[in-house]
Amino acid sequence: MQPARKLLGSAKMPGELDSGAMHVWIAEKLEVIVFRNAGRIRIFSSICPHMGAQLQCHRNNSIACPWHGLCFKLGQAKGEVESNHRKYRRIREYEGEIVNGELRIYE
Amino acid sequence: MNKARHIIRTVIKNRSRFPIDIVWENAQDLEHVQFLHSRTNKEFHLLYAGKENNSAFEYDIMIYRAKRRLLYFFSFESIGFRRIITDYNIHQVEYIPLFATTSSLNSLLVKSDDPEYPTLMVDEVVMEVPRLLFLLKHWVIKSLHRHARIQCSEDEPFRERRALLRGKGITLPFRIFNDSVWERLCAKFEVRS
Repeated sequence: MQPARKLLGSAKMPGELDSGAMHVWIAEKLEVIVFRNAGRIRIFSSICPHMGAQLQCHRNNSIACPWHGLCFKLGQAKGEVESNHRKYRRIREYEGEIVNGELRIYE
Repeated sequence: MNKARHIIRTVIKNRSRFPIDIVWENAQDLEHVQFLHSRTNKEFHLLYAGKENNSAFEYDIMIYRAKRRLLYFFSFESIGFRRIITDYNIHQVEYIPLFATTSSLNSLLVKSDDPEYPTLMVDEVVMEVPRLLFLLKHWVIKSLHRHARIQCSEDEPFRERRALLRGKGITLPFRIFNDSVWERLCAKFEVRS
């Protein structure tokens, strides 16, 4: 039996995910970007760790900062990313699901 | 003897819907120009950024190389130096080899009484240009105003985002993003005294 996952927060999705990546504020300090990648939902923090720009998804296989060009190429495994910057190596990935138009994020 | 030089001078005013502190963060950040202002800037390379003693600023002086766009499809290179004079005031000098032109900028932010636009940006530009360019003075001035107006409108979403984050208590202060060429290359020196 799988251990119960801790719910971090939930929010209504602004539309159908099939139309592309979406940004959702889950909590006061947590904004995420949600998109489909290789048939599954990927959810990352969308607040750029440098200065907080809203990260954008490119071709569903990388996320990048529109202000300074910080880019994370996505691997297949959860949390597997390759950064183009030596200081900003990681971007947090969350587990989650969409239930009846509501995005639920887990620890 | 130096060739005769001609001076073009203009003052450009723009305003922002955001507080002066947020506009100031944006003004100090030059590295965003090639991404956020790709219509008017093609490249930006940080050559050097340095702090003076006990300075509270992220940098006091900056040297850079940039490629500016003119009418989008045409670009030209410039070498620039900027110094933060005090809060809300930056001086900047750029040399543009292609046009044999040197331009200087006194960029000043001022609080405004207008509740809708609380920050006024005043850019004073003084250019030393060859005679041929001086004959096109009105076109040059028009281009400078257009360039500043486009950049200001493109910067407003940046400032809006920074204001949103600040309102949520997310504090990510302005930081230089790239290692400078100085840091990257001088660190490789092997011959020491």
